[in-house]
Amino acid sequence: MKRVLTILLWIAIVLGGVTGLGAIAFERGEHLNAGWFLIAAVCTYLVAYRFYSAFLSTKVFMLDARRATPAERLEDGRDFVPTNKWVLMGHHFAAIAGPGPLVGPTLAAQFGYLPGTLWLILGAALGGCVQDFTILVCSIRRDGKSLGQMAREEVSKRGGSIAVLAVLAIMVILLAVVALVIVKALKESPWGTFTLVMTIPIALLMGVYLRFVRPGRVLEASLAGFALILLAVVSGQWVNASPVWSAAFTWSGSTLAIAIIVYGFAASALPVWLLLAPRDYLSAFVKIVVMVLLAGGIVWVRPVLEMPALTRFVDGNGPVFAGKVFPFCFITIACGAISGFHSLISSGTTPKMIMRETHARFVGYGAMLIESFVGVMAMVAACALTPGVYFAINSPAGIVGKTTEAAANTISGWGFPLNAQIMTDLARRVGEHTLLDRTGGAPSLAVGMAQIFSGTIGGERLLGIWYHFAIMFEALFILTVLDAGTRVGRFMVQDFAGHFWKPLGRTNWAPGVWISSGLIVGAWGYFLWQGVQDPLGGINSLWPLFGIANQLLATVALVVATTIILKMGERRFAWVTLAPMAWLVTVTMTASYQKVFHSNPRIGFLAQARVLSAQLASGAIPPQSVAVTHRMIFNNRLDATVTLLLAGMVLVLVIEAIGEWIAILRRTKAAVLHEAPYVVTKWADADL
Amino acid sequence: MSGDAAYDVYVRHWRRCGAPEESRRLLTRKEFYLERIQQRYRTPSRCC
Repeated sequence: MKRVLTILLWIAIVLGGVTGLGAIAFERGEHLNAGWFLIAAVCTYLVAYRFYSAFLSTKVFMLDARRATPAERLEDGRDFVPTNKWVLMGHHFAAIAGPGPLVGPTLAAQFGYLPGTLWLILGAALGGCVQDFTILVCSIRRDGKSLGQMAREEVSKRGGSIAVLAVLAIMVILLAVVALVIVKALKESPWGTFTLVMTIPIALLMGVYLRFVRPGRVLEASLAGFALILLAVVSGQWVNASPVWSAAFTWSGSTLAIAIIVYGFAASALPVWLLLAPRDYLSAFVKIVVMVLLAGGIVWVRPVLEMPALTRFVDGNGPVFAGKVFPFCFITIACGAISGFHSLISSGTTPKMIMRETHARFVGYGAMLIESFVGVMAMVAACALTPGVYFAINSPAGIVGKTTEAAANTISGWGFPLNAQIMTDLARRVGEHTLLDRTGGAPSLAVGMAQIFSGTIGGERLLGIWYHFAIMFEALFILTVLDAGTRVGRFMVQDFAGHFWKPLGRTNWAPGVWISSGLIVGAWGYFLWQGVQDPLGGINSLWPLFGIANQLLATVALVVATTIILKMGERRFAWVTLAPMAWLVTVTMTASYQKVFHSNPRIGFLAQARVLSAQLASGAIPPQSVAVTHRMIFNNRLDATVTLLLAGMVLVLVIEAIGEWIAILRRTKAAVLHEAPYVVTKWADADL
Repeated sequence: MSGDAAYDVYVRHWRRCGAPEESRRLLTRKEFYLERIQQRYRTPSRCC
């Protein structure tokens, strides 16, 4: 009887998922309620987790609960620490959940809700979750080795080097892009800038408290920090209302960029306990709170989505970023569906802390499903805005016009009715001077979130507070990625430079720290500056570059996983990683080709450089803009070169891997796995 | 989940298994906290 009920329940869940996905895919004309998105997402995730992840665990990898993990065999109370699966899931999720699943879907909403939502749900279940899970399992069986180490041992030495270089490249581009998102979110916004500036002394206080007063008491420090952050958000409205303070905190994009560059350098060079660690604790705490609030808010309010299923911009002429829905929807969504960066987390601390191999399904596959759900919520929040408002916020002034009236006319001409007064009123209601030309996704997401939060608690009178709370959350979140990423990049540079000059490799030698921090910050700072100066907003160029780099790293991870599966002798199951890998190669190579060679200057870097060169040659550029134009030409060629290098490296790895696979399948080469020895666990079931 | 118990876990392990070769004495709570966060932020720990 119990079995019959279980079967009936799963049939109901499958039907729910099919109905939800069907409503999203086929409903036209009427505005869709967010409830359908929740049903489609949750039901699909349940089915994927219950059946597909179970298949991966039992048939493909044959996870063995009796096999001792490195947390048991190498337990040292520091790095290798057996951890309860719920706690580990929380840590792993906090590590993988970044701004990507929030910003990517918001930007991809320019195509309408349909392509992005389908990719978020199905791409995660069949691609992202598979990548995270397989790399986690592979790393567990190799005593927690990193992706680069596994690539070197299982694929080729060159594979390992490519993985390391890809990580460094993606780090630089990622940091520039997320910094640009903050610049776009906070420029000309005194309330937002004040709130974010306040997070620095709050973090410093927390740092001193955790270092000297109550070492390691993270929860109490985070609670206190959170309370101070809320105070900063609320008091920002008084700063905004004061002519003096408002002027003091109204910073241009260029000023913000310089401030963020200085901050990044300081966070990398200063002791980790002073700024970086406390900010990280604070942002992890705020992240969890906000995601729970957002999920609860969407369930409570169930907003109606104003954005259509598909917009005219699937044709590639979108104002937010140029490029057709294929491949750019997938490149833009990036982390919400599949993220190469996750493979670094899955082969970082998580495999050293997992108690049983069988927990990898819950931690690796499950955490990515939750991240995908965050992406779906972001898509809902963005699409709950009226399309006119969405495009007014996310379109650069260079396309829609510098004034509210010009933007309203342009956007109305696209078929999305908008009048200037609506934008002026909305800006006033959320406590901003203007919401025009606030590209990058963060402000529009904040407006969408604020509307959902205020629909749950507080109503219209708290809209401004909720908006700035959402902006603070996004900026805090992003700055944590920025400072942690800069620090990791600094260590990578020092590791590399130490081979040439030993002192540079010493992480406790101050000049070495400053030089390497300067190099990393200089690298991403350059791309950030480029984006800030770009008349098309910067996101148009940089986000696709980030998406391509991220998806290429995912390709590297899936190549490693496929090689390992073949070496295990499970050729009949290689498709589980081969299929998403093949898809990613198609998407990234198409996107790379188009970003470099497309004849539309809004898409192709070289076409843009040619147009600017022609304008220079014809004298169409005013004298005061000649130097800037030369820089823009150089930057476009640099972006093209970086794209080609990344794509080329990964193509080399894929070709090498294919050679390796053929040799394994033909048995002309021994399939040697570099796993740690099998040891039976000493822990009885009751201990776990 | 906050990691507050990490030092207690370390102490329990140290008392059960004795000092590992590279560390002859039990770290204080302050030393342990500092060492942990320095180790954590050497490698990618926060995703995009």
